[in-house]
Amino acid sequence: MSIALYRIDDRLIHGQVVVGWGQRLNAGFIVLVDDAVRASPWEQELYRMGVPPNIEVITASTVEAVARLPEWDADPRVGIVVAGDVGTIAALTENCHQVTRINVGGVHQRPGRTERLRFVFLSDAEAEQLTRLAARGIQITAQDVPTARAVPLAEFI
Amino acid sequence: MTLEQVGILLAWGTLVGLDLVTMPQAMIARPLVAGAVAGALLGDLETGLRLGVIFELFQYDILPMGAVRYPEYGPATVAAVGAAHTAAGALGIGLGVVVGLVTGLLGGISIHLMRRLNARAVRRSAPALERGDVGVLVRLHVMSILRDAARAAVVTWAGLVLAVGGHDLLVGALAVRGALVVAVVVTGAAVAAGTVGTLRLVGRGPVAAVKPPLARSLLRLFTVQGSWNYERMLGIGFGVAEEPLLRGLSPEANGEAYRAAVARGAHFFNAHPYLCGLAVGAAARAEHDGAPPEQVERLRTALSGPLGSLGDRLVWAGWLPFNSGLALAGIALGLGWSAIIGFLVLYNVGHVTLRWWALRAGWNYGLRVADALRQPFLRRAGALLAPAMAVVTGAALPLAVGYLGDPFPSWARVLFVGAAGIGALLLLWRRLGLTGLRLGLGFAAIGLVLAVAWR
Repeated sequence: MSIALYRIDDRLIHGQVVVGWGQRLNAGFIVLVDDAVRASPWEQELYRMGVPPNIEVITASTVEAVARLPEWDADPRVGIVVAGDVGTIAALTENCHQVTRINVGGVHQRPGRTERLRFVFLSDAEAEQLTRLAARGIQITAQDVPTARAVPLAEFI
Repeated sequence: MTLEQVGILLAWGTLVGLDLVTMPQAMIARPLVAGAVAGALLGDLETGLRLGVIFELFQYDILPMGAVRYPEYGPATVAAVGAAHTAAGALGIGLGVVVGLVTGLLGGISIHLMRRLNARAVRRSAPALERGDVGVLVRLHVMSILRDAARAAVVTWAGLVLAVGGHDLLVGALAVRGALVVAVVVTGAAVAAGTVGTLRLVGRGPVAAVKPPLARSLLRLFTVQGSWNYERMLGIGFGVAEEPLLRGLSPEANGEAYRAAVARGAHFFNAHPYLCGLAVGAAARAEHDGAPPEQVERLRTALSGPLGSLGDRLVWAGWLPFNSGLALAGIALGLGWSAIIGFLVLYNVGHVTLRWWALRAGWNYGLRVADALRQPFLRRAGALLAPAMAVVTGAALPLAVGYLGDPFPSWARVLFVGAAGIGALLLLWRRLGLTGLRLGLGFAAIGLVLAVAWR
């Protein structure tokens, strides 16, 4: 199998990822790419506790994730990669042909961001970064849960 | 329906609508309970139970996670029972389901609009919230709760208007067999939604030195989602629930630390509402222990996702469908009221225990809250609930099919099973992007066309 879902979600691993996407994709592992969580053992433990034992949680820094993507992509299990912001996902796509689709799952309100969809708030810089990724041929859609419609980038940028 | 009956159903529908998200989430909003009580209020328990079972199955299609939009089946079931009560037999069931589905759609839209209004109110009050103004924080929260009560009343009222209008339109216009077709296909859609929704859930495969006012915080936690909005999600409710625990914080600093902590408490947060107390208690304890503001913010951020996934797994995808399945089976086996009361009691014993444990554990462990989540009972509950839910709902669904199909004549039972099977296949066909509500409305439309043509 391969990585079935590359997701941007500032809540990282939560119910929509585990119960929503995890069940639908029959995921065997979830890669959490976040530099702050990677440096914090207690936070890593928290995220593991929210996930059933049949799904492995791998925590990686952005640099580690870039290096290990081919390994995860060759894993026989179905995998989900989750990052908390646009910049981290963009870094994963550098020199990497595997990432062909990105799911914007939940980016919430912060100063400087404006609402694009009820679950997607982006700054102009983040919107531009997504546009640049799309220009490289990566299909970008916003979809919080599998049963919702996948909204193409052009409709929410 | 008499004017008095409409008034009683309106009051019940408002309570039911308020319970769904805002308070106290005791599950009177579950169609099984909403329908049974509505039926009893009309002196027609059997119709209430039948409509309750049908909409409980549609409810299985929904997982209320994060900012997901979904139809609201509580007030819808109340309106559906009101509609079904106005017409006898199959026509009543068909009319009730059609009215309920449309009301459910309206309810979902109204929740979305209310969350937008909540967000706008929060935005207007943002400077006061950042100053830690408790009056503004509490007023925002209470106004949001009142807004939801008004919303629930309007949705129920709209549903009851549809019930009366639908009765005037259809009674006398459809032949008995035509009415049966409508009842059968929409009931089939409910079984399809319940089956596929269950498949989706199952998948494949140290003691405080001070005595905090935990009871007051717990009471406020029952309303934690009252001001839910798309910008701060349940941040305002978090702040309201945390505020009693922050009183007495560094009084020598003229309340500055208290106000700063209140302001932090109302920032963006989302998690499962029953486990939210763990974050509330832990964040308040960290504030009392003098943790730097950045560390408190980090704690909240770190707990948001895990408490969401853990709660969604344990409750929405485990404890709730497990109890609902038991109740469905109980009704199908003829237990009537006992099944409804058993559902409410058993479910809420687990619900209230979890909320109380979470708040106490959060307060007791503070920044070491990860230790609280290592409790063996949480792991055991997670491991046991998923298979138990699968077994119970797996047994309940065929029993519900038997119960719902029982009043139909043999030819209609064949159509019912066919509609349920085709509906399940359509729902499983992902490219169609169908939901239980859309399937139900589609089948209702087809059924009505067939019924009018077959007069």
